[in-house]
Amino acid sequence: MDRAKLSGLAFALSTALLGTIALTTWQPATDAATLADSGISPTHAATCDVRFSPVCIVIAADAGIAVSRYERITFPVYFQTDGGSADAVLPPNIPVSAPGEERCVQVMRWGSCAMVPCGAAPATCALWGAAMPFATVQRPCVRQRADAGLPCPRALADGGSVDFGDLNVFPRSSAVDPAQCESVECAVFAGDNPNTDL
Amino acid sequence: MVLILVGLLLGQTAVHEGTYVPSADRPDRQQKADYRAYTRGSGRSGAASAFSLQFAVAGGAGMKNACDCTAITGTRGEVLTMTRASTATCTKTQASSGGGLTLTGIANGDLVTCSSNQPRVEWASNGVRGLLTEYSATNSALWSQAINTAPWVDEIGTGGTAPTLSGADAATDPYGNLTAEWYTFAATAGTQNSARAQPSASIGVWSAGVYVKGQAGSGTMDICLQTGAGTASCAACNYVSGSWTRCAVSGVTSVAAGSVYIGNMTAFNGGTARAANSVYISQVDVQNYPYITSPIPTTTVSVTRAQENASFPVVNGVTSQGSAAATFSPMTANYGGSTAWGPTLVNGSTARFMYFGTTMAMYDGTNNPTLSFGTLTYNTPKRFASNWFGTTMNMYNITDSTSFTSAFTGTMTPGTALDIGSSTQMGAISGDGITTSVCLDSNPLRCR
Repeated sequence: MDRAKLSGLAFALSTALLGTIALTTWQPATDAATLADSGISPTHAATCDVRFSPVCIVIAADAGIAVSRYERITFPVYFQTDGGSADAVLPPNIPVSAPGEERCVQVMRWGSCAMVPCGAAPATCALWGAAMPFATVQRPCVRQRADAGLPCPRALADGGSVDFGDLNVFPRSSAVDPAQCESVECAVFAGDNPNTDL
Repeated sequence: MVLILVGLLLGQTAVHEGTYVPSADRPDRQQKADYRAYTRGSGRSGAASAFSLQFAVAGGAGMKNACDCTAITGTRGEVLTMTRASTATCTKTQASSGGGLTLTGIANGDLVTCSSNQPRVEWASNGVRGLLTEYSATNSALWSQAINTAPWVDEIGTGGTAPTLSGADAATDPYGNLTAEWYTFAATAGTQNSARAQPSASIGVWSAGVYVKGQAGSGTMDICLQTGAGTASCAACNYVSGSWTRCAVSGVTSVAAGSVYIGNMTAFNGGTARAANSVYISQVDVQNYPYITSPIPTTTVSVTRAQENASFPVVNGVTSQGSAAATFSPMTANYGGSTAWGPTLVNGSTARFMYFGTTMAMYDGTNNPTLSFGTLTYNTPKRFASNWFGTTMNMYNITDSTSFTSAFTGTMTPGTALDIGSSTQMGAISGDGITTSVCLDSNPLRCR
């Protein structure tokens, strides 16, 4: 799929680095059937950290999917590489934001997304034409629960542990007992309030 | 004078405000010779400009004061659209003190937070106000402006003395707020450390930075990133008392949960003894980047500055011929082979007047010539130009006096916008640095 043809079916949203590959992300301007007629169907399942806009949190809730402002989600993409560049076409039904408004689903950093072929993630790729074409997955960080009174110590390399501080976020993998902690995303965009947005 | 004469010869009546006036260096002479040969051969004469855009030029037409964080335009009011999904820090340090990329001479309140989608105008070190653009980065150091707060802890090595918090929120910080901590790091020698530390980085290439000001004098301390059990990569931090210095250690391959250390780190710095240091500390960054970018304040969680894009509306009139030029002040002397840097002037995915990866390049959809951008120097402006006409595309490294000529299809296909500094229309080309003196014109001789 060359870029000129892609431009007729979608509009470029953003660019990013995926490893050493220059990635352009595209938002479809047409439906799944038209995309399929043009040879665009999902090739991979992407798992990324994202920020949902307030409007889309409501849209997702209306569709029966509860999401917070920051989530890790998995979703299907059409992904094609060409030398040092790549194109990723998002699912067609992700709501399009008005110009100047916050994007419905903003990928925090494409370079930290995990991409697997659809053959290894058929359930995710089957969401391509769905109204809400994503599923949430385990958030990768934790913090002390604000009001549960439970400790959430962080394990140290020497075998000990340390109280990491109230509400301070650290990787879930280094929690002594993740079940005692609140699962959260690992980062927010600058300007957002972690106490209310995480 | 040279430019005025050329303009008159081409039937133009005025030099645009702030137009770059080149010295008599080789690429400029070559540029003229190339085009004159073409016009003689084709029987054409230079036409008046059908399109002309200048942006961030000397004199500042269309620009606002540094870090005003309000809309800016080209010299004729052309609206620049900025897109960034997060806030970002702007540095308004004057050019006389090194400009927005300076690491020294930073005054209280020089750092300003711009809201989402707001441009960051900063002084380049040559006295021209330009546009700072950066790729996305994340600061993983929690409580970046409160190193007296958990999860920050003391680091003493073997036999060292813990640092003393001489005063919390004791001084005005570079953002103009009363948050800077006053710490006294004890003298260290041998295996001793006296520092504050926090596990922040994961496996990969990281950089760390901190703003330091002497409480009563100048001195030298350390900033380090952990590279293994009991090992770290450190940089000496030379501070003064009259202004803030941003110290940094860059391109460190960190370990999982690698710590950042701020203070006296003799045990890890190669054994260099340190005298006691009484300093104000503010804004620590541990960024997932081979060099330190603009500071990103944090509290309880890592914070990401989103990638930004700057663009003017679609450009026509430069399809068959034109010229482009820009001056770029790099954020590092070594971009590490990254494909994400440079002053990009792109008008669609197949009309790339000037873009940068490992080299400077142009692209008309078929021809993709490249030219070395030569040696980069941190915070030192470097100028590049290009033009295209007839069957020829030329690239000029004005600063280094090098050039390259390629075939041209005759058509630069217009896109949806003219991207400056970074591009939404092609791969991850993103200018980490300040772009100034941008010129795009349908006249192949206008932009130099």
